[in-house]
Amino acid sequence: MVEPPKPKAGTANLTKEQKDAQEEFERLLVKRFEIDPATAKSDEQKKALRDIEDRLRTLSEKLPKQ
Amino acid sequence: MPPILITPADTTVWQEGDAAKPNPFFILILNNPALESPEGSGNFTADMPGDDPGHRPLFDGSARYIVDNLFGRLPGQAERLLSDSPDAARIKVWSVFVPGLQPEEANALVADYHIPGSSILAPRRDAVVEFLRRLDLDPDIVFVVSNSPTNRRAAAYGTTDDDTRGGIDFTYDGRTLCHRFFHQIPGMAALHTTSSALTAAHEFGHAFSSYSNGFVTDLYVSGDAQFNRKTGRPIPAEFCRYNGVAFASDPLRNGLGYPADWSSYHSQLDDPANPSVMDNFWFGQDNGMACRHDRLTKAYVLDRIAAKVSR
Repeated sequence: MVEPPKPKAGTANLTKEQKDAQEEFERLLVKRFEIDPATAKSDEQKKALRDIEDRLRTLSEKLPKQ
Repeated sequence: MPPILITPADTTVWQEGDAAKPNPFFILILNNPALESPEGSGNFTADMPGDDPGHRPLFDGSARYIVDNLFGRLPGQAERLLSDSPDAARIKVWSVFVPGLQPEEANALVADYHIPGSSILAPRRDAVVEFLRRLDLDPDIVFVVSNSPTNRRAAAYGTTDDDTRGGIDFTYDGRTLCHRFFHQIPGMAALHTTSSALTAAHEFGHAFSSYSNGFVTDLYVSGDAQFNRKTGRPIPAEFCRYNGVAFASDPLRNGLGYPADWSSYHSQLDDPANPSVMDNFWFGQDNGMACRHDRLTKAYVLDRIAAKVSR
Protein backbone atom coordinates (compact mmCIF):
# COMPACT_ATOMS: atom_id res chain seq x y z
CA MET A 1 0.00 0.00 0.00
CA VAL A 2 1.26 3.29 -1.04
CA GLU A 3 2.07 6.65 0.47
CA PRO A 4 -0.43 9.17 -0.91
CA PRO A 5 0.85 11.41 -3.69
CA LYS A 6 2.03 14.82 -2.57
CA PRO A 7 0.28 17.86 -4.02
CA LYS A 8 2.33 19.03 -6.99
CA ALA A 9 2.67 22.46 -8.49
CA GLY A 10 1.39 22.75 -12.06
CA THR A 11 -1.24 20.02 -11.89
CA ALA A 12 -3.89 22.59 -12.83
CA ASN A 13 -2.24 22.78 -16.24
CA LEU A 14 -2.64 19.10 -17.01
CA THR A 15 -4.75 18.08 -19.98
CA LYS A 16 -7.86 16.00 -19.32
CA GLU A 17 -6.09 12.97 -20.76
CA GLN A 18 -3.17 13.49 -18.38
CA LYS A 19 -5.47 13.97 -15.40
CA ASP A 20 -7.42 10.83 -16.27
CA ALA A 21 -4.19 8.89 -16.75
CA GLN A 22 -2.86 10.11 -13.40
CA GLU A 23 -6.05 9.12 -11.57
CA GLU A 24 -6.15 5.66 -13.10
CA PHE A 25 -2.42 5.25 -12.45
CA GLU A 26 -2.85 5.99 -8.74
CA ARG A 27 -5.89 3.73 -8.48
CA LEU A 28 -4.05 0.82 -10.10
CA LEU A 29 -0.94 1.32 -7.97
CA VAL A 30 -3.08 0.93 -4.87
CA LYS A 31 -4.84 -2.08 -6.37
CA ARG A 32 -1.51 -3.70 -7.22
CA PHE A 33 -0.26 -3.34 -3.64
CA GLU A 34 -3.59 -4.59 -2.22
CA ILE A 35 -2.85 -8.04 -3.58
CA ASP A 36 -1.46 -10.31 -0.89
CA PRO A 37 1.98 -11.35 -2.17
CA ALA A 38 1.51 -14.73 -0.51
CA THR A 39 -1.47 -15.50 -2.74
CA ALA A 40 -0.01 -13.73 -5.77
CA LYS A 41 1.81 -16.92 -6.63
CA SER A 42 -1.29 -18.58 -8.06
CA ASP A 43 -1.65 -18.47 -11.87
CA GLU A 44 -4.83 -16.42 -11.62
CA GLN A 45 -3.27 -13.81 -9.36
CA LYS A 46 -0.10 -13.75 -11.41
CA LYS A 47 -2.17 -12.88 -14.45
CA ALA A 48 -4.09 -10.20 -12.52
CA LEU A 49 -0.80 -8.66 -11.43
CA ARG A 50 0.61 -8.80 -14.95
CA ASP A 51 -2.50 -7.11 -16.37
CA ILE A 52 -2.33 -4.34 -13.78
CA GLU A 53 1.36 -3.75 -14.39
CA ASP A 54 0.95 -3.76 -18.17
CA ARG A 55 -1.71 -1.09 -17.83
CA LEU A 56 0.45 0.89 -15.38
CA ARG A 57 3.29 0.85 -17.88
CA THR A 58 0.99 2.16 -20.63
CA LEU A 59 -0.38 4.86 -18.35
CA SER A 60 3.09 5.91 -17.19
CA GLU A 61 3.86 6.99 -20.76
CA LYS A 62 0.94 9.43 -20.63
CA LEU A 63 1.97 11.02 -17.34
CA PRO A 64 3.64 14.42 -17.34
CA LYS A 65 7.40 14.09 -16.97
CA GLN A 66 8.63 14.57 -13.39
CA MET B 1 22.77 -17.99 4.03
CA PRO B 2 24.71 -17.76 7.30
CA PRO B 3 23.32 -16.06 10.41
CA ILE B 4 23.91 -12.34 10.81
CA LEU B 5 25.37 -11.45 14.17
CA ILE B 6 24.32 -8.09 15.58
CA THR B 7 25.92 -6.37 18.53
CA PRO B 8 24.46 -4.05 21.17
CA ALA B 9 26.21 -1.22 19.31
CA ASP B 10 24.08 -1.97 16.23
CA THR B 11 20.86 -1.86 18.22
CA THR B 12 18.82 1.00 19.63
CA VAL B 13 16.23 -0.09 22.17
CA TRP B 14 13.48 2.52 21.92
CA GLN B 15 11.46 0.57 24.44
CA GLU B 16 11.82 -2.98 25.74
CA GLY B 17 8.12 -3.73 25.87
CA ASP B 18 6.63 -6.36 28.10
CA ALA B 19 9.70 -7.99 29.66
CA ALA B 20 7.53 -10.67 31.27
CA LYS B 21 6.66 -12.07 27.83
CA PRO B 22 9.00 -14.29 25.84
CA ASN B 23 7.56 -12.85 22.62
CA PRO B 24 6.12 -9.36 23.16
CA PHE B 25 4.49 -7.44 20.34
CA PHE B 26 7.54 -6.24 18.42
CA ILE B 27 8.17 -3.40 15.95
CA LEU B 28 11.58 -3.46 14.28
CA ILE B 29 13.29 -0.84 12.10
CA LEU B 30 16.14 -1.96 9.81
CA ASN B 31 18.51 -0.26 7.40
CA ASN B 32 18.41 -1.51 3.84
CA PRO B 33 21.91 -2.77 3.03
CA ALA B 34 21.33 -3.28 -0.70
CA LEU B 35 18.84 -1.99 -3.23
CA GLU B 36 17.45 -3.82 -6.24
CA SER B 37 16.86 -1.32 -9.02
CA PRO B 38 14.56 -1.71 -10.76
CA GLU B 39 12.56 -4.45 -9.04
CA GLY B 40 13.03 -7.83 -10.69
CA SER B 41 16.15 -6.74 -12.60
CA GLY B 42 18.70 -8.65 -10.51
CA ASN B 43 20.71 -5.41 -10.36
CA PHE B 44 21.84 -4.93 -6.77
CA THR B 45 23.71 -1.87 -5.55
CA ALA B 46 24.73 -0.61 -2.13
CA ASP B 47 21.97 1.32 -0.35
CA MET B 48 22.84 1.96 3.31
CA PRO B 49 25.36 -0.76 4.21
CA GLY B 50 27.31 1.47 6.57
CA ASP B 51 30.45 1.89 4.45
CA ASP B 52 29.79 5.64 4.51
CA PRO B 53 30.04 7.21 7.98
CA GLY B 54 26.91 9.20 7.18
CA HIS B 55 24.70 6.12 6.91
CA ARG B 56 24.31 5.39 10.60
CA PRO B 57 23.26 8.92 11.68
CA LEU B 58 20.93 9.10 8.68
CA PHE B 59 19.35 5.81 9.70
CA ASP B 60 19.13 6.77 13.37
CA GLY B 61 17.33 9.98 12.39
CA SER B 62 14.83 7.99 10.33
CA ALA B 63 14.30 5.53 13.17
CA ARG B 64 13.61 8.38 15.57
CA TYR B 65 11.13 9.87 13.10
CA ILE B 66 9.30 6.52 12.73
CA VAL B 67 9.10 5.92 16.48
CA ASP B 68 7.95 9.48 17.20
CA ASN B 69 5.34 9.28 14.46
CA LEU B 70 4.00 5.91 15.63
CA PHE B 71 3.68 7.20 19.18
CA GLY B 72 2.16 10.53 18.12
CA ARG B 73 5.04 12.67 19.30
CA LEU B 74 5.87 14.75 16.23
CA PRO B 75 5.24 18.49 16.48
CA GLY B 76 1.61 19.25 15.74
CA GLN B 77 0.64 15.58 15.39
CA ALA B 78 -3.01 15.08 16.30
CA GLU B 79 -3.07 11.28 15.86
CA ARG B 80 -1.48 9.74 18.95
CA LEU B 81 -1.81 6.24 17.47
CA LEU B 82 0.13 3.77 19.68
CA SER B 83 0.14 6.18 22.61
CA ASP B 84 -3.65 5.91 22.69
CA SER B 85 -3.35 2.23 23.52
CA PRO B 86 -3.39 1.41 27.24
CA ASP B 87 -0.80 -1.23 26.27
CA ALA B 88 1.63 1.19 24.60
CA ALA B 89 4.40 0.52 27.11
CA ARG B 90 4.13 -3.23 26.45
CA ILE B 91 5.23 -2.85 22.82
CA LYS B 92 8.85 -3.70 22.09
CA VAL B 93 10.47 -1.24 19.67
CA TRP B 94 14.00 -1.66 18.37
CA SER B 95 15.99 -0.30 15.50
CA VAL B 96 18.94 -2.30 14.21
CA PHE B 97 21.58 -0.94 11.85
CA VAL B 98 23.17 -3.97 10.23
CA PRO B 99 26.61 -2.93 8.94
CA GLY B 100 29.08 -4.43 6.52
CA LEU B 101 26.87 -6.46 4.20
CA GLN B 102 27.58 -6.82 0.50
CA PRO B 103 25.27 -5.45 -2.22
CA GLU B 104 23.77 -8.78 -3.15
CA GLU B 105 20.31 -10.26 -3.46
CA ALA B 106 20.04 -11.68 0.06
CA ASN B 107 20.75 -8.25 1.56
CA ALA B 108 18.33 -6.30 -0.64
CA LEU B 109 15.23 -5.73 1.47
CA VAL B 110 13.84 -3.00 -0.76
CA ALA B 111 13.52 -2.46 -4.51
CA ASP B 112 12.82 0.55 -6.68
CA TYR B 113 9.40 -0.44 -8.04
CA HIS B 114 9.80 -1.07 -11.74
CA ILE B 115 6.92 1.00 -13.13
CA PRO B 116 8.31 4.32 -14.38
CA GLY B 117 6.77 7.38 -12.78
CA SER B 118 5.70 5.59 -9.60
CA SER B 119 8.74 6.53 -7.46
CA ILE B 120 7.74 3.70 -5.14
CA LEU B 121 10.02 1.82 -2.78
CA ALA B 122 8.72 -1.73 -2.58
CA PRO B 123 9.61 -4.10 0.27
CA ARG B 124 11.14 -7.36 -1.03
CA ARG B 125 8.94 -9.52 1.13
CA ASP B 126 10.61 -12.92 0.75
CA ALA B 127 14.06 -11.38 1.23
CA VAL B 128 12.92 -9.60 4.41
CA VAL B 129 11.57 -12.86 5.86
CA GLU B 130 14.85 -14.68 5.16
CA PHE B 131 16.89 -11.74 6.48
CA LEU B 132 14.94 -11.80 9.76
CA ARG B 133 15.62 -15.51 10.06
CA ARG B 134 19.34 -14.81 9.68
CA LEU B 135 19.08 -12.12 12.36
CA ASP B 136 17.13 -14.53 14.60
CA LEU B 137 14.47 -11.86 15.13
CA ASP B 138 10.73 -12.32 14.76
CA PRO B 139 9.04 -8.91 14.75
CA ASP B 140 5.36 -8.39 14.02
CA ILE B 141 6.07 -5.28 11.98
CA VAL B 142 9.21 -4.30 10.10
CA PHE B 143 10.13 -0.90 8.72
CA VAL B 144 13.04 -0.89 6.28
CA VAL B 145 14.75 2.44 5.63
CA SER B 146 16.25 3.08 2.20
CA ASN B 147 18.27 5.95 0.81
CA SER B 148 17.43 5.19 -2.82
CA PRO B 149 18.68 7.97 -5.10
CA THR B 150 15.56 7.81 -7.26
CA ASN B 151 12.51 6.41 -5.46
CA ARG B 152 11.21 8.02 -2.29
CA ARG B 153 7.56 7.05 -2.06
CA ALA B 154 6.88 4.62 0.77
CA ALA B 155 4.90 1.40 0.38
CA ALA B 156 3.84 -1.48 2.60
CA TYR B 157 2.52 -5.01 2.60
CA GLY B 158 0.02 -6.19 5.20
CA THR B 159 0.49 -8.98 7.69
CA THR B 160 -0.19 -12.58 6.73
CA ASP B 161 -1.74 -13.87 9.93
CA ASP B 162 -1.16 -17.33 11.30
CA ASP B 163 -4.80 -18.41 11.10
CA THR B 164 -3.97 -21.81 12.56
CA ARG B 165 -3.28 -20.29 15.97
CA GLY B 166 -5.36 -18.38 18.46
CA GLY B 167 -6.53 -14.83 18.77
CA ILE B 168 -9.44 -12.71 19.87
CA ASP B 169 -12.54 -13.05 17.71
CA PHE B 170 -14.46 -10.04 16.48
CA THR B 171 -17.41 -9.52 14.19
CA TYR B 172 -17.61 -7.36 11.10
CA ASP B 173 -21.05 -7.05 9.55
CA GLY B 174 -22.00 -10.39 11.06
CA ARG B 175 -18.87 -12.25 9.92
CA THR B 176 -16.53 -13.60 12.56
CA LEU B 177 -12.90 -12.63 12.06
CA CYS B 178 -10.00 -12.73 14.48
CA HIS B 179 -7.29 -10.45 15.80
CA ARG B 180 -4.62 -13.13 15.56
CA PHE B 181 -1.88 -13.38 18.15
CA PHE B 182 0.78 -14.49 15.66
CA HIS B 183 1.78 -13.99 12.04
CA GLN B 184 3.13 -16.20 9.31
CA ILE B 185 4.70 -13.22 7.57
CA PRO B 186 5.14 -9.91 9.37
CA GLY B 187 3.68 -6.70 8.01
CA MET B 188 6.36 -4.57 6.42
CA ALA B 189 6.93 -1.13 5.00
CA ALA B 190 9.74 0.46 3.02
CA LEU B 191 10.37 4.09 3.90
CA HIS B 192 12.89 6.59 2.60
CA THR B 193 15.34 8.58 4.69
CA THR B 194 13.37 11.66 3.62
CA SER B 195 9.97 10.26 4.70
CA SER B 196 8.09 12.74 6.84
CA ALA B 197 4.73 13.83 8.25
CA LEU B 198 2.28 10.93 8.70
CA THR B 199 3.97 8.57 6.25
CA ALA B 200 5.15 6.11 8.91
CA ALA B 201 1.75 6.10 10.65
CA HIS B 202 -0.02 5.64 7.30
CA GLU B 203 2.19 2.70 6.30
CA PHE B 204 1.82 1.18 9.75
CA GLY B 205 -1.95 1.21 9.16
CA HIS B 206 -1.45 -1.10 6.19
CA ALA B 207 1.36 -3.23 7.59
CA PHE B 208 -0.39 -3.89 10.88
CA SER B 209 -3.62 -4.96 9.21
CA SER B 210 -4.27 -8.48 8.04
CA TYR B 211 -4.94 -9.95 4.60
CA SER B 212 -7.28 -12.52 6.16
CA ASN B 213 -8.75 -10.62 9.13
CA GLY B 214 -9.46 -7.08 7.96
CA PHE B 215 -7.26 -5.23 5.52
CA VAL B 216 -6.81 -1.48 5.97
CA THR B 217 -6.44 0.08 2.57
CA ASP B 218 -5.72 3.48 1.01
CA LEU B 219 -8.65 5.84 0.90
CA TYR B 220 -7.35 8.39 -1.60
CA VAL B 221 -8.55 6.38 -4.60
CA SER B 222 -11.80 4.62 -5.38
CA GLY B 223 -11.53 0.85 -5.21
CA ASP B 224 -12.93 -2.45 -4.10
CA ALA B 225 -14.37 -3.08 -0.63
CA GLN B 226 -11.88 -3.65 2.17
CA PHE B 227 -12.17 -3.33 5.95
CA ASN B 228 -12.15 0.49 5.85
CA ARG B 229 -13.67 1.06 2.40
CA LYS B 230 -16.97 0.07 0.86
CA THR B 231 -18.59 0.58 -2.49
CA GLY B 232 -22.03 1.63 -3.66
CA ARG B 233 -24.32 4.58 -4.05
CA PRO B 234 -26.20 6.11 -2.36
CA ILE B 235 -23.92 6.12 0.66
CA PRO B 236 -25.79 4.46 3.54
CA ALA B 237 -25.92 6.08 6.97
CA GLU B 238 -24.22 3.07 8.56
CA PHE B 239 -20.80 2.03 7.30
CA CYS B 240 -20.55 -1.23 9.22
CA ARG B 241 -21.04 -3.02 12.50
CA TYR B 242 -17.76 -3.82 14.16
CA ASN B 243 -18.05 -6.00 17.25
CA GLY B 244 -21.71 -5.11 17.50
CA VAL B 245 -21.12 -1.37 17.42
CA ALA B 246 -22.50 0.67 14.53
CA PHE B 247 -20.01 2.92 12.75
CA ALA B 248 -21.48 5.67 10.60
CA SER B 249 -20.45 6.39 7.03
CA ASP B 250 -18.71 9.60 6.07
CA PRO B 251 -21.22 11.06 3.62
CA LEU B 252 -19.02 13.92 2.44
CA ARG B 253 -15.34 12.98 2.83
CA ASN B 254 -15.07 16.40 4.36
CA GLY B 255 -12.25 18.57 3.22
CA LEU B 256 -11.72 16.53 0.06
CA GLY B 257 -15.16 15.42 -1.14
CA TYR B 258 -15.92 12.23 -3.06
CA PRO B 259 -15.25 12.76 -6.78
CA ALA B 260 -18.38 12.21 -8.86
CA ASP B 261 -17.00 9.11 -10.55
CA TRP B 262 -16.11 7.29 -7.32
CA SER B 263 -18.17 4.35 -6.16
CA SER B 264 -16.40 3.83 -2.83
CA TYR B 265 -17.02 5.53 0.51
CA HIS B 266 -15.49 5.63 3.96
CA SER B 267 -16.21 5.35 7.64
CA GLN B 268 -16.98 8.32 9.85
CA LEU B 269 -14.09 10.72 10.40
CA ASP B 270 -12.93 11.51 13.88
CA ASP B 271 -12.09 15.05 12.81
CA PRO B 272 -14.45 16.23 10.06
CA ALA B 273 -12.14 19.12 9.21
CA ASN B 274 -9.38 16.84 7.91
CA PRO B 275 -9.04 13.69 5.82
CA SER B 276 -8.15 10.52 7.69
CA VAL B 277 -4.63 9.14 8.07
CA MET B 278 -5.34 6.48 5.41
CA ASP B 279 -6.64 9.11 2.97
CA ASN B 280 -4.41 11.72 1.33
CA PHE B 281 -3.16 13.27 4.55
CA TRP B 282 -0.98 15.71 2.59
CA PHE B 283 -4.17 17.70 2.03
CA GLY B 284 -4.83 18.03 5.77
CA GLN B 285 -4.01 21.06 7.87
CA ASP B 286 -0.44 21.72 8.98
CA ASN B 287 0.97 19.55 6.19
CA GLY B 288 -1.21 16.66 7.25
CA MET B 289 -0.24 16.60 10.90
CA ALA B 290 -3.82 17.43 11.95
CA CYS B 291 -5.17 14.25 10.36
CA ARG B 292 -6.40 11.40 12.54
CA HIS B 293 -7.58 7.89 11.82
CA ASP B 294 -11.27 7.45 11.16
CA ARG B 295 -13.06 5.94 14.16
CA LEU B 296 -13.36 2.43 12.74
CA THR B 297 -9.71 2.09 11.78
CA LYS B 298 -8.59 3.41 15.14
CA ALA B 299 -10.81 0.93 16.98
CA TYR B 300 -9.38 -1.89 14.85
CA VAL B 301 -5.77 -0.84 15.52
CA LEU B 302 -6.27 -0.54 19.28
CA ASP B 303 -8.10 -3.88 19.49
CA ARG B 304 -5.41 -5.62 17.46
CA ILE B 305 -2.70 -4.21 19.71
CA ALA B 306 -4.62 -5.48 22.74
CA ALA B 307 -4.72 -8.95 21.19
CA LYS B 308 -1.02 -8.95 20.30
CA VAL B 309 0.16 -7.86 23.73
CA SER B 310 -2.04 -10.45 25.45
CA ARG B 311 -0.53 -13.49 23.70
